[in-house]
Amino acid sequence: MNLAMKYGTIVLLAGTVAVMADGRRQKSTAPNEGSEGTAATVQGLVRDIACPIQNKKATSTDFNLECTLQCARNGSPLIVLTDDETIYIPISESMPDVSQRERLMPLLGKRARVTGSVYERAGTHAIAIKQIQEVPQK
Amino acid sequence: MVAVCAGTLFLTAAAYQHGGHEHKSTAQLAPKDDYAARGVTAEADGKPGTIVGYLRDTACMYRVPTVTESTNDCMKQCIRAGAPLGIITIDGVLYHPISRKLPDSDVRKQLIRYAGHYVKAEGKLFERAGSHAIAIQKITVVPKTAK
Repeated sequence: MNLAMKYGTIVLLAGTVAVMADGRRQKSTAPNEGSEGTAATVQGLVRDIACPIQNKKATSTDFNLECTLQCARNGSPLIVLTDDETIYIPISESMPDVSQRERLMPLLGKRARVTGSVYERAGTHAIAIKQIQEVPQK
Repeated sequence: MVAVCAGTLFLTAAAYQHGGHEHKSTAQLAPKDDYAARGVTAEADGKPGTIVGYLRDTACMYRVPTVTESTNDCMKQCIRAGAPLGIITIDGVLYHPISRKLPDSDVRKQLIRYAGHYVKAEGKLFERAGSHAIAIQKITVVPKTAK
């Protein structure tokens, strides 16, 4: 076997291994690990996302409860709106993500303290909820 | 060799079929804008706009800041478990979809079919404190290279 053939065989073998490895990766069912986020506690209003992002006069303390309830009943995604107007999208502690709606619905229209890991991407925020509890309105 | 050729032909055919489906997939998600008729203020009316981006669950995008396209089953599992959906644009802005009417309603079911695809979404764009939303009027699957 001359040198060219040896190199050719090596390249072919490497290519085959790379293709097999890629195939395995594509079929992976492992969730995206990602970052751990930053441990934090935030306080804010539990409500739908649509009203506060459209009506900037709606704050965490001054808002239309009826609209909040109707939007949530219709299936609008829920968020936590903090006093500094940051909107936190709730996500689960583990991956794959699981809807946090059932945990948030009992606190709809109420002020809550949420402890967990916060994430930021391009100016938007999410919180992986570890613990959530109602706190008195301001 | 025969197996490799057969595999290549199969993949090419599958890609062609997939591409064909993509370009035909368009939907009107809502009737024409009715904000004015309801007396909604201009401030709350958003800005008409079109975005192009990848539609998927939001959780993975937050946890893995570099991820855009789905490369494993995580997206499917997240969506199956009820994860909210979002559209991440080519320039990295994450849009949360909302409905065209207030009170808001769930648009998730209408968007699930677009998960894992690049889409062109037309509608009204909203922004508050760094968060973005889009009330989608029309959505179309587009190639990754579309602008």
